[in-house]
Amino acid sequence: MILKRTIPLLIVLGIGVLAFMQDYVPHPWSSAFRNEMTTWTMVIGGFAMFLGVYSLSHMHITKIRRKMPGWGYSIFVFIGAIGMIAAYIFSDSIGALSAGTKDEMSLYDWGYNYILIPCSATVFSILAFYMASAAFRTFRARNLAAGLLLAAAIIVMFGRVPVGETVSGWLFNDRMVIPNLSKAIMDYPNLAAKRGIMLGIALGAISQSMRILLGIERSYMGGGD
Amino acid sequence: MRKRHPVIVRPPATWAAIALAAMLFASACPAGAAATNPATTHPATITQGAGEPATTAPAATAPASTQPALTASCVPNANSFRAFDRPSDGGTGILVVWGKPAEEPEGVKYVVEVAHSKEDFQAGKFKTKEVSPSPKILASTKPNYFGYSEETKGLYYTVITPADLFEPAQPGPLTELRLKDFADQHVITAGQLKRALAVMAALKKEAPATGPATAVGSAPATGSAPATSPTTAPATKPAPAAAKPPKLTPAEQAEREWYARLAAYLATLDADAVEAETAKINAAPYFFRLAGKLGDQTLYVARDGEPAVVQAGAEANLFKWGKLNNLVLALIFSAIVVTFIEIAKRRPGLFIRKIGGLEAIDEAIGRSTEMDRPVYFIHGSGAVSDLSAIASVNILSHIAYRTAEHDSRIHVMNQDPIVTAVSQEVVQQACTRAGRPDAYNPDDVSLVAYEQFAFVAAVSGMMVRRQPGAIFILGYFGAESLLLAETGSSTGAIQVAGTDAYTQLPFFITTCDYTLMGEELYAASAYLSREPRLLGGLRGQDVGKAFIMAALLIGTIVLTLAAAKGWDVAWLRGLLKAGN
Repeated sequence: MILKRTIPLLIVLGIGVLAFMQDYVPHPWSSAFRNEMTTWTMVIGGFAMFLGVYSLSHMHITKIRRKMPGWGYSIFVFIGAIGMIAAYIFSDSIGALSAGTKDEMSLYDWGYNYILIPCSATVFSILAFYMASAAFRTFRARNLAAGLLLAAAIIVMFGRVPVGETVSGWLFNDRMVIPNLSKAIMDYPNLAAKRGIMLGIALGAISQSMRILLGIERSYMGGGD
Repeated sequence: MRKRHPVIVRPPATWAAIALAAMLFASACPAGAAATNPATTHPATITQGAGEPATTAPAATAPASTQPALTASCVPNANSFRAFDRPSDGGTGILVVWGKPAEEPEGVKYVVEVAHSKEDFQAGKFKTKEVSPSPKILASTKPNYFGYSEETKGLYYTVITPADLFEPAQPGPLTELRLKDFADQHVITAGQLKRALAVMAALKKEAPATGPATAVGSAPATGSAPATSPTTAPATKPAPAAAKPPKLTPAEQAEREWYARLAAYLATLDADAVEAETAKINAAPYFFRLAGKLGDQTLYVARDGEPAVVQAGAEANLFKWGKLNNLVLALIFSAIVVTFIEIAKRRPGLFIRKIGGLEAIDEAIGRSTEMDRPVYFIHGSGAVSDLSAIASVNILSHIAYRTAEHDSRIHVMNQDPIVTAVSQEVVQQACTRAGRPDAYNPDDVSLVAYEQFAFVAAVSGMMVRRQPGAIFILGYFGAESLLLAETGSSTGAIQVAGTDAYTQLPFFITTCDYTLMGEELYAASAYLSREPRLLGGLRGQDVGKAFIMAALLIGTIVLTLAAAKGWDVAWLRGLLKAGN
């Protein structure tokens, strides 16, 4: 119990209080402590990466071995991972996949720039379509609140595109009514709501931190609430 | 007693002509000869403190005939001139303050002279910092240094960072001599010195052939030495095609890479040495003089007939006083939370408002069980040190327990390896608590991908293929929020999302059945466990919110009244302002 509960909780309390005081102590010792902690985090993160790789490999190997649904995709995980690791190891100046000079691109860079980044951009670009479908579902004036949301959304969207300014000019005798209204919605009701959420988050964070530091909240250690 | 004023020496026209000729001659001299301290080139008329006799120093040059005269009233009072350690810093700054003089002719500047000793002023061994008067340098603009007194409205200040004036010596490029020095200091071994010198010699030999692209001490063509390291030469354009570097054998190339790594390591030692030297320079005591300067005229702030000298040194402080308000508020909120935790221990059964998203958890898990579909739990991108990640792990503990109880299956998707390890432990423990240790499968709690969109692609694919019955999306999310939630929505699963990333909340509200907004995510663990002490923390949080609401209301009223009645409430603004 002492090893599994008391000592970890004492470490959490001690390091937590020191980390909290970091923000208020300008002494070089304080920044040295922060740098030391950052180094420790990086070292622990490095070891944890092995655990992550093990977990990932184990899951996909099991999938392939048992021919679970979608097991073919798991093969691509290994092709991608082994390919990029090999490219990195052998892309240095003495390897078979050498870039030659600094200005030439190594195979690793090529894979990163021409495979990973375009794939990520593709997934990211899907967001535009999802946003449209989500907006279509949401902006239906089923009740008063939804109607207000729809009206505010139309004004904000319209006020933020060039055509909104043009239309505003036609309708309101060259006055930027729609863009100004859009700005007012963003600057007042929207900002007020945003700040309310942020204040709630800040208080929640203090409360959660206190619960963790005092050892009241222990679910993250496993073994129940 | 009649107050005596300092005297400006005004040479007659002949002197002016001689001085002009002298200036012309000086401008024709080499730069080194002209770059001397103002004390030796400007007319040094000395002013005195209030009620003190005037002292006049000889003038080296004459003021231009159209230039307004610099009189005693244009120079700060000697009693107001002082220097002291800048509070709330790590020992890097000294504050020099002086009173705003009665008159400030246009174009006047203040010159702060800094020296290691009083004697250095006489020897001309000092550095100067010129400050132009403006409202920005009034002490009242920095209440965290000077407070809110009326006096600050008539004080100017400047921050002197000694290391900016007395710059530490920068190490030069890596040379044979420096390498030998490193060997003498046992930083590198004799064998390493020999290898490094051999590479250096080879690089030198190649230098004419390859042009400036390969400088001694820089990384070889394919090396990895940082370009900004002090020991490396600045990067230059690649040499023309005709001057390509010679083809190296693998052994030679390996040797050069080793050399680049060594150079990078030595550069970090140099950087450490410069940092230590900077700290030493900043920590030393310094002497200061202050003068008003207008064109060619310089008038010193004087005491007892001599330029007033004050002394101060920068010290590393233990507290940032500008953040005192922040600390006090944090401690008050913490005290409120702790108080309610204690109250909850004595009086269990505190009322906590219902949170729809958390009430729906059991419903979602039950539905998945009935439909014989898995439960998906998707972690955000936060590391284990983020509160949102800890909050999600806490909720996971409850969900995994319920899932095990219902004999259903849970899949936990992670982006962070440490969160993965913690989640595995939490799920395993939850299964054991539910009496179903066999229900835990480590492959169900795995790292999916470290990259943001690779994670989205993988999880979306799994959702579409396996059609989960319930999806929990909890933690910190970026652009992936809508991609995940919209894909989940298309599978028909019950979705419960929660995040403290307020920019992503609209996407979750749009696409999920229930959304935990900000603080509700943190409250979830307490809410689900119904443990009195945790609920006490929640109640404390609500009281803190009421406190903030009251403060906002009172602040709005006070500031509105202040604007209407013309009250000075700078202290109130300062009280609530984030400092540093």
